Amino acid sequence: MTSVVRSLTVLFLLTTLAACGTSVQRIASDETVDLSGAWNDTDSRLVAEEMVADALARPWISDYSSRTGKRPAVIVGSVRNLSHEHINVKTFVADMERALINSGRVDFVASSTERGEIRDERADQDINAREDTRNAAGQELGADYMLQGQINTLIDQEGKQQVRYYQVDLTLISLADNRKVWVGQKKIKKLVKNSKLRF
Amino acid sequence: MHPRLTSVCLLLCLFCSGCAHWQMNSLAQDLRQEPPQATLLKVEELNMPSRDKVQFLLNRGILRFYTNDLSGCREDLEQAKNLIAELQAISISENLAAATTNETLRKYSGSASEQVMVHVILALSYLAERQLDAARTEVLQADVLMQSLAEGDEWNGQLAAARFIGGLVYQLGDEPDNAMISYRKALELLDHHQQAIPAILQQRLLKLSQQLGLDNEYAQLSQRFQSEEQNADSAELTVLYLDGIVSTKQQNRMSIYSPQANQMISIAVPHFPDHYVSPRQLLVEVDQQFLRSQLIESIDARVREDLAADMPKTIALATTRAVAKYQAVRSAQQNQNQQLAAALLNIFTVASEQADTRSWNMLPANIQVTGGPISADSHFSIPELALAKPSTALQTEISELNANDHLLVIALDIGRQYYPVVFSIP
Repeated sequence: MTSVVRSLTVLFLLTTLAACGTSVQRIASDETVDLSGAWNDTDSRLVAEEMVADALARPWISDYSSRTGKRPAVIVGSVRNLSHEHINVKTFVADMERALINSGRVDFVASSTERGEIRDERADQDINAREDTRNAAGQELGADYMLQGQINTLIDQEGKQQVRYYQVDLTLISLADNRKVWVGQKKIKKLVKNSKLRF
Repeated sequence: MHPRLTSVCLLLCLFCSGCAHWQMNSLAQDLRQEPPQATLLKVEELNMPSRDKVQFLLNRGILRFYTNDLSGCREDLEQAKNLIAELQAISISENLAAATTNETLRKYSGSASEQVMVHVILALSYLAERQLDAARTEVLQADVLMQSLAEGDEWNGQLAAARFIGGLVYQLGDEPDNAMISYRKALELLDHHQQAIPAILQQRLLKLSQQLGLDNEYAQLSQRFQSEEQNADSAELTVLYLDGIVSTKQQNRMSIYSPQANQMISIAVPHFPDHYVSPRQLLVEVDQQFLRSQLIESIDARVREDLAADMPKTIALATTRAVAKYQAVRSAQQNQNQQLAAALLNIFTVASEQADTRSWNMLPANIQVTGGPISADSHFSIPELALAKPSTALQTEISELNANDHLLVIALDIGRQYYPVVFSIP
């Protein structure tokens, strides 16, 4: 009996010690791993993919191009996080920008937060750079549409179970006349069951 | 391992963990007298066991809030929040340890009110840096938490201060309907605690009920508060004052008769000292008139209520544990060959009977509020705090206030400073 208890104790200690070490496993960037149920990179990727596909499939690009003969220029406005979680909206907005620019059908211009640094550099060039290499002020491309949006959530919970519903809404608004030319929406719903027991 | 050596090792472990609790409690007492920066340095040097990680993060987080390290505060409190969520599952090993030794071997996860206060402090840290959407996220999380805490007891973990700050966040974000709901809940909680309604909350309820066309509610509130909405077209001032330090738990030994053991047994339970921390009002000067801050939440009272709610379970567990230990000692004493082991076991059972006195003991004792109309040519100051004269930057911001703007001031007793922020309401 004593030897059985000793053996079990040793086995228990070995198992515990084995669990104490740190292990790192590299995985593909598009592999889905849901750990806590909170908003993660998979959610961001799903939103970006659906929004990009929808935006490119709608007639607002061809309408603008056929009317003006050029690509529409878009500026990113405020995309607000009104959800229950601290979500970095810049991840899927950046994915959208990249995909739309790379499609060759849409131009993006620097947002209000980004262009401050650029204008400072331009002003510096005006003083310090050689005349034939300067980029003059007043030559910026004006945006035709502004991208705005928000993330909202609804939470329903009882005990250790929680249903999380995320809704991401993005809108393209014409800077000429305030018309909404495109509205994109992505819904994600998760059932999260928290563990009742732990060691 | 030799029984004597085992007992000595166990006693040393218990002694060391008790040292860490005692040191943290002692530092919380010192915070009343010394600057928070000094306390923060001492807290960072503490060698806390992993089961007290949450308490360490909460206290370090609030100290960082007191010392203007808002991003550090958020880092600690977010980490604490995640750990608390993980600890909601029942632990088999901790229950076993608590049943055989004492409650301090459970991982600390905070009382109901403390868990809500995590969101309150996070919301304030975001507001202090004008991150309104992030503060709103914390308000939403606090709401979900308070809903879940109320499942067993409708008043469990419900904080009027959390509701008031929620209402303020919604108001700053031009969401008057959500603000009205939050302020109503704050009023309901203050009525439950039979507490006076701060003038600023009265004003907000009147203003919003009128703005939203809730005529019946406006009439009821107007009659109750003996006041009417002034319809002044001016900017608004809100001052949130975090006053004092919450009481620290102490250990209390009690003797209880056990029918199973057929004698009196001694147990150790946590308790708060008898005297409450009395609120000290803050005087705010606006255009040579003084506004006095008024109590919206006594956190000291709330944590005491949390402890009182847990006390029957705590006493029952302690009694069961004490009886089991007593019977183990009796059994060993009856064996002539195990007298030394019985003696050591007896020493261990007495020394190991420690109350769990852990708490978020560097929280403010109470939260007070005041406010009212303020205009671009107003003179504003808080004479008692670090800036006896308002800074030039602050007066410049006030001079640029528009009619729809809101000046929020988060004032701290500990650290004697304040965070002023101007919000422009869309």
